[in-house]
Amino acid sequence: MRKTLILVCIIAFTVAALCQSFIDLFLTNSYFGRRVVTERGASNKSRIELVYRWPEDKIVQVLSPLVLIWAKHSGSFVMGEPNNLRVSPLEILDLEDLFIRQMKQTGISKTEKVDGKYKVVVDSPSGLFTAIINEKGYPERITRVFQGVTTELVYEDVQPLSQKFEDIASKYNIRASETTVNFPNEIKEILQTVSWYTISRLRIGEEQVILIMANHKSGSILKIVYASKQVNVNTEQNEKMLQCNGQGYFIYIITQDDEVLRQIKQLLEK
Amino acid sequence: MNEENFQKFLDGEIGKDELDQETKQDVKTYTLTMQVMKARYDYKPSAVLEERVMSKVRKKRELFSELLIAASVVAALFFIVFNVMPVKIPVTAKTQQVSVSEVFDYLSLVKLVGDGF
Repeated sequence: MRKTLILVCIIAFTVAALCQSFIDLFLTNSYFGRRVVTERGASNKSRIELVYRWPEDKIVQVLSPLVLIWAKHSGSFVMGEPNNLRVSPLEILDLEDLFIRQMKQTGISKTEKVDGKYKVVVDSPSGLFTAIINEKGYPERITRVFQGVTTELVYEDVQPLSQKFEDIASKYNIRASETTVNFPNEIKEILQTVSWYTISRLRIGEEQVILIMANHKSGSILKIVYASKQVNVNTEQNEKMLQCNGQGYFIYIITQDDEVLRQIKQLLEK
Repeated sequence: MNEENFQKFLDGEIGKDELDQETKQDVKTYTLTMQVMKARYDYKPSAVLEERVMSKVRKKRELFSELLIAASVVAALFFIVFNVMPVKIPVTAKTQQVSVSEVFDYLSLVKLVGDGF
């Protein structure tokens, strides 16, 4: 019995050590790859991308549905067409970034070795993530299931990347000082508290406005109306509304959750 | 010419009789020269000539003044148009509409290339 317990402990320790090593490899690897992103659910979308990834930086060239480049460098983001890149006020996070973030915040729920590859499961408030990582620490597939929407990132070809960020950045004309996208700071602050959003245009009276339907990280539904003139926003029963005015724009935040509204009010008053 | 006697004669110290023939001739020449110079300096142009000359000068001065005034008026108009008059263009509804579109386009792009927050 004692020998069996010691053997089990040794095996558990070895598996844990091995898992740790491939996770470390995954987090510290630099690679270049081609990947396909698909989202299935209420709405379907797909992207084909080339990705250059370093432990802290990333350059992604979206090939389809439109040609676009975005990059993460030293904590800031740029996005745009090849010769018109601008600093993005919002973070741009792909499924891999979200998986790593949730893995660090929530921790790994389950790890298993399947056909020589590692399957890592992270059950987080932002969804159920499943990643397949090979023994070299390169990702092969990352899946997230969240509120009936399945997002899948499939790597078709991953190779080690020896070039530095600056080498690839110069190839795509990514420079340090780019102009910033004109974007209301209030919306930026609010969107940092949500896990995903949808966006649509609609008319209120004569005015064209933007409606952002977002899922707050607490789970509550949040509606944000952005207009360039004051508009009469109708709310449903039990919904509370917060209005804030900027220079030449009006923002209406609507939710049923009093606590969320209080948090957002505090956030905007800072 | 005896210069010393010439000067003394002009100063009234000696008479004309005391001068030699050559100096007398020079005194005569000198007197004539002085008369010509006096006539020249005492010259006063006729009213017609004066008016003709002065009108040319006045025309030049007037032209310069007119050019100066015109330039000042143009400069003042530029200043008024670009600094004083209210500029209405930036606050038209069209400009604000662009802002709404910009927010929409940017959020749509972030949603397209990103997978959430």
